Amino acid sequence: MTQSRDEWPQLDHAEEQFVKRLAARYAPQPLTTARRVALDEALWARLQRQQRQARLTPALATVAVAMLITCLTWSGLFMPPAPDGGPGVNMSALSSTEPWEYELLYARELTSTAERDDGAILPDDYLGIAEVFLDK
Amino acid sequence: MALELEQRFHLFVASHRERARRLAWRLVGGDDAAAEDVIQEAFIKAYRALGQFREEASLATWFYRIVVRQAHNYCRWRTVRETWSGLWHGELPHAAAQASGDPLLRRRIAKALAQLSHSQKEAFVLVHMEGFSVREVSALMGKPEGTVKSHLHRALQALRSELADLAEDTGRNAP
Repeated sequence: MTQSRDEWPQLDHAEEQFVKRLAARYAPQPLTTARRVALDEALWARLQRQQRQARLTPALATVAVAMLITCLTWSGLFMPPAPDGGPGVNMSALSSTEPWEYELLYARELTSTAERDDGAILPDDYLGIAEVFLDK
Repeated sequence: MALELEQRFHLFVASHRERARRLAWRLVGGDDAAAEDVIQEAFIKAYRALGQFREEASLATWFYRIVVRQAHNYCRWRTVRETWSGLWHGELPHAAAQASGDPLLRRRIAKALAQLSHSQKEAFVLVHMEGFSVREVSALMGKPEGTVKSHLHRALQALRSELADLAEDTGRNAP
């Protein structure tokens, strides 16, 4: 930090005196030896603490990424695979249902009770039983 | 290599500790603890950047820029904190219990400096109190020399008006 005199602003005598007084009266006390040692120790302790934190950061980041990956894949581990290999609910139980069973089970949702006549879709065995028990 | 770096850092701290502390103390309004906190943070940043600077002069310029910026950040943070906590009644914090001289006068000077803009205060403290040249301050603040001179002129006018009694003082209360 080399300086040459012409780099300072030009002040008249009164301004120069004012600035000098200001600088003299607004200054901290010089550091005592004990205070200087305490300041240096605090600086080194802070520096070492930050260096430790800097060393730990990559390890913590790795753990965080591993946890994130585990969380994202955890739910998928217990979900049954879809027939096409993609994620989703297994529909195999529903697809094994016979057409007449499906219609019997779900047709009520599509039509009103009054319009419904199950006789037409029931197999012969069921019709025989129905005739005995239901006086048809 | 690490040992050499540490030795260089020790020397750097030893040669700049006092000036950096004085500068930070003046910029943060005469608060000992804040000044020490500011220079510790600046020294830590200097330690990390030590390998990048081969010349002591360029490292020193960079270091004092960090000190000024840290002090500026501290003042801004303090203003926000005091605004929100509602504890600010025009009193400056702690006002340097360990400083020499008249504490009331010191508090008045701190208050007058705090009324300047940040750039004016930084330019005034760096040039007129710490003895940096205008060119150095221009590099430190990242502003043209003409702007620094303008800040200095306005700061001096404001301070002379605010501290008129000190401006007329002929040295009666010299420390």
